[in-house]
Amino acid sequence: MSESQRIRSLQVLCAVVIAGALTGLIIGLTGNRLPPHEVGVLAAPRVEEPKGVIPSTRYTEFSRRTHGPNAGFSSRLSSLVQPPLPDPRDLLDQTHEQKLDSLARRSKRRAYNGAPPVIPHAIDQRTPAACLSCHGSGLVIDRIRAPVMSHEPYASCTQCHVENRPAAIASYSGEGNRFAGIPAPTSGERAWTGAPPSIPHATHMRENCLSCHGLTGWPGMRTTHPWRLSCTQCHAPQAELEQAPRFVHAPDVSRFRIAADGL
Amino acid sequence: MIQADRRTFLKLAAMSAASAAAHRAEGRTTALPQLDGAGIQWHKAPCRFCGTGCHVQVGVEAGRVVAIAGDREAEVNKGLLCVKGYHVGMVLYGKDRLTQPLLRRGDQHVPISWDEAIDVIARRIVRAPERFAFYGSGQWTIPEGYAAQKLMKGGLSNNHIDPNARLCMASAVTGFLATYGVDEPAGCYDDLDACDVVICWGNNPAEMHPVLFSRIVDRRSRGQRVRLIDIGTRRTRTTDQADNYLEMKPHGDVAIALGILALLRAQGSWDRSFVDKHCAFRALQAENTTLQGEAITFETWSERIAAYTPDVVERLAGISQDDLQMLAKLFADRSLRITSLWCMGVNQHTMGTAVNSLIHGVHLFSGHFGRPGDAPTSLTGQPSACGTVREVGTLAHALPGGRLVAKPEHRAQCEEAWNLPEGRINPKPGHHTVKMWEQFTTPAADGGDIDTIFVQVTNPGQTLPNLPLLFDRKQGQDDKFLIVADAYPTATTRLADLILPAAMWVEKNGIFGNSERRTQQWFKMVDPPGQARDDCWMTIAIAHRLLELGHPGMKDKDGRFLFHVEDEQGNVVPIWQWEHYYDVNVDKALFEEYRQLTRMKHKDLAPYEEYVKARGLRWPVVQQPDGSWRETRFRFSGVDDPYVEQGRDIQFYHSVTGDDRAQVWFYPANPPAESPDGEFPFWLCTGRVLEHWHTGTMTRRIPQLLRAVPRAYVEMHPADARDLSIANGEFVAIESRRGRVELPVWIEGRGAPPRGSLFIPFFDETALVNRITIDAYDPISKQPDYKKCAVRVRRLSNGNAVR
Repeated sequence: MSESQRIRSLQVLCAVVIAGALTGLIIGLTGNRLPPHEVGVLAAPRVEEPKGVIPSTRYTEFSRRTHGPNAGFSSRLSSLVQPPLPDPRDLLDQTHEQKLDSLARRSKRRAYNGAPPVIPHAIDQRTPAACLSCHGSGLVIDRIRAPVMSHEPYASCTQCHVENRPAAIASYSGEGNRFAGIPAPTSGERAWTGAPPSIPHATHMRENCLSCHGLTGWPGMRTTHPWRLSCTQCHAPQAELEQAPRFVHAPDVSRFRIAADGL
Repeated sequence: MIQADRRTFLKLAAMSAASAAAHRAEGRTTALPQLDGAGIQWHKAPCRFCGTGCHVQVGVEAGRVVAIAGDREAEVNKGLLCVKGYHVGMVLYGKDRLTQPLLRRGDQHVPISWDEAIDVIARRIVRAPERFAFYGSGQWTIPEGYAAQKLMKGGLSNNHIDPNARLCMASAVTGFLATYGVDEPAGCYDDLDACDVVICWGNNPAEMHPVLFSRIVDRRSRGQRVRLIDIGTRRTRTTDQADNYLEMKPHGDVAIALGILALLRAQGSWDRSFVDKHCAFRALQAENTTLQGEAITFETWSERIAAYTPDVVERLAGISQDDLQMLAKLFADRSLRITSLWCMGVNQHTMGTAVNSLIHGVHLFSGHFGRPGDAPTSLTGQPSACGTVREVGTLAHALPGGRLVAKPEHRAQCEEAWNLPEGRINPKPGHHTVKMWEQFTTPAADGGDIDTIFVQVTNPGQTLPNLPLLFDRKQGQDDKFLIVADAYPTATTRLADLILPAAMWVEKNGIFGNSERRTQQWFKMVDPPGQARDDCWMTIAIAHRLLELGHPGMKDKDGRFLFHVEDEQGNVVPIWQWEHYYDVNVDKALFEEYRQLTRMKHKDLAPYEEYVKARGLRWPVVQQPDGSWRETRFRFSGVDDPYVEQGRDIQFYHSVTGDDRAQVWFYPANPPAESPDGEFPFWLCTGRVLEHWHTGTMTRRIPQLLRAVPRAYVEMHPADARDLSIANGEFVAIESRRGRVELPVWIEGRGAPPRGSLFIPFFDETALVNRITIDAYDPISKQPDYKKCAVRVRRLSNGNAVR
């Protein structure tokens, strides 16, 4: 084979590969499109990276094998190039309908306003530490939106947030529940047109306003003025919403005879 | 018979659900209309679920619970909850709530009136009072347990009353009694904030006591150092955050505790001054063993313990000699504060009393006791296992306030407090749980001496070990009568002859007592659905019907009804009539009566009104010269406990030896009741998951929790699955000598057992793992061992199709 023939055949090979890739891309882009805002199922539980020669999966086992990202993939998700944040001027175009739509989607992941949201994607069952890689600072990649945590970081995420639902034991049936929790409010009160609205919900466990109202937050609920960082300077929390305890405080139990000598 | 179990169960469950559904009020199954939250009122209540005892704030609007929040006023949880707690309000609104009494006629449950139901029960009791048993719960409120206790022991002179807590913490009780002469932990949750090292003994608090676990690990987020050591038989979420994971063989905990003691002794690194001042040594007698055992000398104890050298422990427990040395070194270091946590792994154990006592022994012998952060702390699984079972004493051998039916002076004290004629209380302990159910399911002709059981607030048809023997045998025995009060159809109601609809949680007043001696009160906030009523009312109504039928035990010495309650004007309130039950606060009346009995063992409770104001108070709660009430955090410790004599650092003032010393025990390590063999080659451990609580009757009706863990599964090591050609998610049969259950396999799931070991959670009534567990129990505490038995795994021909 001459040099030119070799180059020629390489070019043909490349063209075939590129054509194949493009076809795949177009099929991928047109078919199977997730509806906007729905988070795709990212991964099944942890997949161990095999050492040495990697055995191929038998076809008979294929449908039942756990597939998912390896350690490298999941740790890189947050370092993928993120799209530029929206132009603040575009934030003014948010509509009330967008907000209602977002509130409806949001309410599907909670039993009531104030309940911890369920996790709408697969998680690793035993290492919740991975949560912070996306939810620590918030993330938007294509249709996947990982809100930044609304509360101070606690070390045991799965204490309050649970996956709905793990793949390996998927089938379930339940008796159902009639509970109807309180809905999220649709807007805060304004004292007059143009006044800053008050915060229409409790702020306990929702100390970080940017979780919902920041640039990675929900459409229709994002702040129109992200450059202002001290939210409560203008938006006042409402004491009556803070689950004010009806009962008087616990008796003073601070009078222990605890010695101050390090005991 | 066993093959058909699951199908039979499903059919029966469907049948009882269908007959219940047929009588359900119109529209009960549709979702409630949504409210806007504008009229919401917030109240306080302890969480309905586990023994941690978090306080929740309950948002109530238009007579319904519509939201829950963590209570920031509560010291236990400081505003945080777990996922069960955040959804606890939904337990009231499952679509299939029981709303009317149902009596079995043939294979149908038909509705009857409450008057009829109470009459049926009373007549059943009057027929043969000594063949009646009351099976209660660590989820009974304190007044509910107290009323049941008074009805049985004070009214019927019948000691056949035992709670599900026998299956849960009986060995913790015997451990405390054998060591300190008095029950319940000396330390409290404050230790978790102060300790340097936490050792989890066969315990997975990340899932079972999540709020306490995050209280520990969140310290790390604040820059504090706390070392977490997980001694377990499988990797769990707790292991994930642990600094050291010591994987032991099942039953290896006994040898590990002995090994630490032996090393401390051999290396001379025990706390001589603490031991000289505060400890004595003890072991079981050679024969006719008792809970108290016999005193032995330090030399005898040393000789016996010396056998547990690191190499012996390695062989028995499977942990490395280095790891054992590491533990001994930690305990040898007095500058560290060490807290031990344990729960079912140690308690549900045929050597439960022994391991409990030995862990206390490790702390005492090393002097890691009595300083904040230095504590052997046993955790409980139920919200009032401590409050109602251990303190009210709703056990077959006990009386309120740490008293025993066998002790004449204790009986006399209760008879006096209850104004009963002398000799009313029966001195012979009744049947403990396993015995009670064995007697109930044994035909009368074969000597079964219990023929009626009243079950309140628990689900023995799912939780008893070896269900084929202890529960399922009831089926077809028409002379045996099972009465079950519950909020939902359960694995127990399927065999019930009479089902009573119960009010639950904030549908009634209540008082719970949590794991750290904290007594917690709440008020009724919403009405129960349909005809559901309070368990406490049921007990009182039955007592009054017995009175009407002429049972002499229902009156006190002066001819007054056992549950005589007066209003402020001094008029008798007919609290046995439901329409008058809430005319007075019955909880307060019963609690004030009960609290007079709490002082003998220095478990003093404050007046009811103090608990209304507080987010719980830890006993002993002692009145101060200024009239205020002060709780106690560190018992037996001079720094805090008002009952320790002035100037003493530690005083075990209920010492069994009467000399203010605690007992450091020796127990030999004995093998478990059943170990894997050629025929049944796997270990089986059962337990819980974070999202479900116990038998799932509440949490399986909460969609957010059910979707998270939809059903029970079996955890298996990938290599074992490969050897058996089992794929992830495939259904398999797990068989033991007692029964069989079919489940999907979950490999690399929530927990990861080592080779040769399986784990199955017990929350799922459609896959009853207790059909295969063993009914062997600790000889002292009578608590069964759910954590180890031998099983085999069988592939199913359609194992992949089922899913």
